[in-house]
Amino acid sequence: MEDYRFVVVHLIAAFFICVVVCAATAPHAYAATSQSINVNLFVPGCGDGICEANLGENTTTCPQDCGGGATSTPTTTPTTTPTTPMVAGYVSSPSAIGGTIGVLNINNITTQYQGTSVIINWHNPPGSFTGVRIVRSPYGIPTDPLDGQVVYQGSGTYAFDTAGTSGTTYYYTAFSYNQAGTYSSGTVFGVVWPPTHTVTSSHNKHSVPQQQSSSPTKSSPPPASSFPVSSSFPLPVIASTTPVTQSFTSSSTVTATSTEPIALNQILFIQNGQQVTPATINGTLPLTIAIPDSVVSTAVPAGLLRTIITLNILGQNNYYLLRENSTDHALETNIDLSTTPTGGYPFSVEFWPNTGTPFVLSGTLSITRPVAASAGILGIGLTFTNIEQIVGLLLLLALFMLILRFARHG
Amino acid sequence: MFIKNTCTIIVCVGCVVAVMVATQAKADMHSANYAIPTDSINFGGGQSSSANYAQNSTFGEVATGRSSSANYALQAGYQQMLGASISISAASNVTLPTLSGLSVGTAVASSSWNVVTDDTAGYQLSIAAATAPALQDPAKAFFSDYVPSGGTTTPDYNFTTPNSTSNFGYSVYSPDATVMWKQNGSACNQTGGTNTLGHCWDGFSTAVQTIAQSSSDNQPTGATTTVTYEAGIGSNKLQDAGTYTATITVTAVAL
Repeated sequence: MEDYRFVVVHLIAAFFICVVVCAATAPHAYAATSQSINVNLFVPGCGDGICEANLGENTTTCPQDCGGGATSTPTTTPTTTPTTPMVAGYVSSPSAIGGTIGVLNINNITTQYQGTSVIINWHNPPGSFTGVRIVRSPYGIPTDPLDGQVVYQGSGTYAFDTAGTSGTTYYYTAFSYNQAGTYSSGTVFGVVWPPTHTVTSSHNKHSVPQQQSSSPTKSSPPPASSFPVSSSFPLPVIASTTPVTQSFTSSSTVTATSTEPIALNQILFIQNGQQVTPATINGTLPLTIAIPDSVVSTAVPAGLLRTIITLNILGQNNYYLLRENSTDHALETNIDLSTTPTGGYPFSVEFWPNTGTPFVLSGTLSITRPVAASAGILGIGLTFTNIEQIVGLLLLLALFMLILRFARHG
Repeated sequence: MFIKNTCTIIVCVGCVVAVMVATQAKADMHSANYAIPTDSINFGGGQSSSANYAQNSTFGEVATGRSSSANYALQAGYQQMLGASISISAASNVTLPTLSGLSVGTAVASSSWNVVTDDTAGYQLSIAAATAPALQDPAKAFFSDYVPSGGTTTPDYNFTTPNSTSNFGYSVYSPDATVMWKQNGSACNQTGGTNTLGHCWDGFSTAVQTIAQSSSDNQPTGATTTVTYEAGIGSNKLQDAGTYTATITVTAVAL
């Protein structure tokens, strides 16, 4: 009987031991049924945090990657005179006299608040224009198409910018480009980001703020119930440091000085491959304004952080960024004058050296157009647009008078 | 004393035999036409039910529970096998070849997953992206998700990038690829077509998309599905510099 009980006890004990052993050796090891991975892709270029000399990046072309300081602090950045071309693909056009005109900048940029958004309007240039890329930055003026956030890219003439911090000034540069991927020097403007409260324009003071789509649309023009952001955008860097300014009335009579190491007559005005003067600008032709590399390297050994040309057309300032040309390293911009009426317009060139005091040259750009004459013959209005037509008309009149004379006197 | 020791030995040997039998049971119960997916050594149990519930019970099973090795998982015991097991291999992160933001180009890379299931009903493998668009950088610049010309259910036979855009898509190569990844030499989503590497391209979505499916178990070798990724920059597109990342999740579900 004792043996029987012992056997039963052992059976039960062995069973539980086995169960415990089996349970202990059973780690709940189902393999996971989901796996997540990251697919990574690196796109090099200015703004990637790496100074890539093989892409032409240096302290001038890409200060955010190669050092050289923020673009809004021009006096704190020692660097050398640019000697290498900018990144291939977005340099400007050849500026040498006899060269061909490159991609023209957009102009006539205006900005308006629209609720909590900003509408940007502009005029596209003629010629080899494919589209415009607008980038912005709260830290300074973007100096190349990869510098800053992209606000718009396309062939339209307006865009909405919907994301910003109220009260923050954003600096924008619009780079037009052609089919080959060549970019213009850039047109600069700025916006103090709108407050988030209701628009107070008298046109819609009872309206409710509307949130705009964040993506630019080309489907229809924006509504007009808005008010200007600023009639003339004051470049904020000007306010931080007062530049030396001197105006010149004639480019042929000035020389460089210690405070203005570059003279106005050292700036090249080029149209149709020929050098022209600011007083004889043909409004039907694009205008290239260029500063040769030899002038910059001699006058400003520390190099230029930024150069901007301001052209005031009928009260509206157009700010053109000058950028280095890959061919001859000149600083240049290409300006569309096709919509600019005949007249004299003030312009200024602001130089911001990497070290030292900024300086400004200013003058007047006199834009003329081909001779236009009108004459009325027998009540019919005729317009003559060149001297050959006028001479032809005079000859025709002489012939007519001669015929009359013969008719009277037989 | 002899009886005591004998009983102890018998019990222990019985346990070991039971474990061995349970381990071998699955492999031994296949024939050309039939299979016994589950079996049990026990002394009682059966079906019982009430108005609202039903249960299948066994009594006296020995050597039950789960155990696993690097390549296999065992669920010993009749009730254990009422649930199917499925596993998916791990894949590493993938880095596409560097693309220049200033010029046209494409970058291709791939990753593979092996799915093993003992579910006689098979499995389903799906894929989803964590973001839309899938390939983004921290500044929110992105490659557009690939959009096939025939709609998202009909992948493009070849990967193309319009001049003015940059895009990111994928293709699927698998013995269990769904019909949308099968092509006839010029078009995809072809019933009876073949599944080949490098053809049939679609875009990612945050919505789950089924890419492979089978209707039978495939253990122990499983089935390997390869997902190929491709990113392209069009000739007129200037892509922002930066490091772009797409987080892709694949999920295998036993049917």
